[in-house]
Amino acid sequence: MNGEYSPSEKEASVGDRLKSMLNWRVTGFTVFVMIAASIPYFQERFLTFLAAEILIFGIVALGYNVLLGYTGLLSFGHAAFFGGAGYTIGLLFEYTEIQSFMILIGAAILVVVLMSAIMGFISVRHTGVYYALLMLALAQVLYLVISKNYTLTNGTDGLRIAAPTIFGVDYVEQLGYNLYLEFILYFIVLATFIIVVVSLYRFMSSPFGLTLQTIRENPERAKAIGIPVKRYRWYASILSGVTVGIGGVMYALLIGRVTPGSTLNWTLSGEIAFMAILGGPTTFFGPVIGAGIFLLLRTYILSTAPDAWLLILGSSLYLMVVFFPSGVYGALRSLVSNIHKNGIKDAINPNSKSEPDAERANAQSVRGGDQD
Amino acid sequence: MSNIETLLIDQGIRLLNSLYYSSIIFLVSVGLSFVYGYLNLLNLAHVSFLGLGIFLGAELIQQAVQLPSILSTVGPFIAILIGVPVLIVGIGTVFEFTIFKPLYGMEETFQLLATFGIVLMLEGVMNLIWGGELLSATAPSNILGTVGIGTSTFPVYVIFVIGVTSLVAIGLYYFFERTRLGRITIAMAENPEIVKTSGINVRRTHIFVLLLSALLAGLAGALWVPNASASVGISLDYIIISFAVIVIGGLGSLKGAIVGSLVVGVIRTWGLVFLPAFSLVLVFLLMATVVVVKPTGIYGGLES
Repeated sequence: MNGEYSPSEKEASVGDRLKSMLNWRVTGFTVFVMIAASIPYFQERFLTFLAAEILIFGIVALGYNVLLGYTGLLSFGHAAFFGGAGYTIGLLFEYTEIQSFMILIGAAILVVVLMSAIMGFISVRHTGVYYALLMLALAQVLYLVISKNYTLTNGTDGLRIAAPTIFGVDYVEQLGYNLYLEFILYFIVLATFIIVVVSLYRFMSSPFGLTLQTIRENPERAKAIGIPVKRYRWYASILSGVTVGIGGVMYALLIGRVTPGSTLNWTLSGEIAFMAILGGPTTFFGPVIGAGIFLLLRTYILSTAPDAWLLILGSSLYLMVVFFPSGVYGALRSLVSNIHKNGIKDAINPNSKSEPDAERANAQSVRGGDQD
Repeated sequence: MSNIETLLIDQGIRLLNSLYYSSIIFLVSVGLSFVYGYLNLLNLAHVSFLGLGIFLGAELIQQAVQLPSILSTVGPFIAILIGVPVLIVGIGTVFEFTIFKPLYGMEETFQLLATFGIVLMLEGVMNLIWGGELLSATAPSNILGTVGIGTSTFPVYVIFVIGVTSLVAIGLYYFFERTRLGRITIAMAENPEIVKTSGINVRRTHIFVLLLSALLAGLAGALWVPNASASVGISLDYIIISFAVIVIGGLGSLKGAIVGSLVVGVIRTWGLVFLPAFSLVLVFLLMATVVVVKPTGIYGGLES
């Protein structure tokens, strides 16, 4: 805003800005955030807790999807970043006097950057199955080292995580735990969520994000036009790991304890992948929707028929992957855009001869088509 | 007795234990390796057959022990060697036609996710049936008794498991090298198009390979259960271990699975002596090293 543009340009930019404000993505996100922000006012501790969990796993699934959806790499090792970040603050609480929120999260991010840089550096030498297995093996090393190390990390019992001080104020002492959860911690989680969503969205629509998508679509071609494919995959691993780590810190603070079983287990990596798949890995916001559906479903089933949870989780993961690989959000989006293009009749008729939507084509190309 | 003799006996017992562990993980991972090598399906759900083998084995053994006279001695072994494999083949057939069929030809990462879904699904089913129970069926181990080695005794059952596994390994080797179906299977991994145009029913071979793998994993479960007690979720631990085995040995190779399971068995058993808590860490570090240095594994590169 330094006044060097002509009035007509200014008008255009205001118009553009208005247009982008009316953009349904922005609208949708704003509504989402407003709903999220109003939840603590119901004063239901259970509800606030669940909403916080959804926001946290929204962050995690978004971060995971930087690799799965944008770069085309499936990782079975992201629990290591989730739990690694949680254990960083757990160990700091256990062995140091540090209680400041900013220092704790800074330290956790630093550790996760290092971890994901090392694990990524080793793993991006391969793609596909070997990438998934390498990440799995490395994450499993961390899991075993932490869960068997009783003297340092308290083994499978895990570490307790106290409430941190925020800019020097201990809110639990001042407000009590309930108010701290509902009005301090919850809004920290929400603010982190907004920051992560906005900055990841900027990242992913920048040349960096487009480069990753180019690599996903056609690594050979990307290499041919001069993109250092491996290096970009490595960057994506780090970005993804850090985002998942931020989620891990928030989760540790929310739950108040880190254990290897709940934060480092390899099945957690699978669950995170499921959230991304469920929402739609080919869309930006889909994983958040996936995390939301996943946690609502889990909370509901665990309270009504806990024994059936694994069965329902497994079969819905299977059905999603086989029948709707573009996820709930992706399927809805291609349905909506088909309605725009062809009217309702054609849109719900799968055999209509319309131009295949980008999402669907995308999902098919990810699945691979050759049956024999 | 001299020190050297005790030392030798100690190491001998350790070797047998290591071979026992290798036997079980060989039977599990060889099928995983076949399904990947010959069907191009990376099947996480393979270990679910191990889980089913464990529970069906325990149930059948408990039934067999109650049979009259001589049958109660022979019965448990028939349950392990014939009963469980037959049941697993039956279950496997149903699975093949329903849940595995849509996965062939899918992109690998999607196969991994879909089969992870199957793992959880079957884990859930086993949890509904056997959840919360601690099944034990030690009859076969008790029947065979122990043998004295020096001053210590050693369960004969462990030697029985090693023997059965060796026979299976030899049988598999003979099958793939000498029989027509075995050669077709290998040819199919090399070039399914040519096999198809030669008028061979590829689909039938697919089914055969999947069932053979399921059978071996089920057998592993049944052989394993008399020596330990089973609870739901135990098979999940074997997913990663069997991946380590076939990655170290080479995906899709019989020799690779043998060598891989021996290496993992040795590392685990002797690792327990030097680094008690972290012996499996060594296995995963070796796995990561192998993927980085030679992703085809020790034997993977030679056969393809």
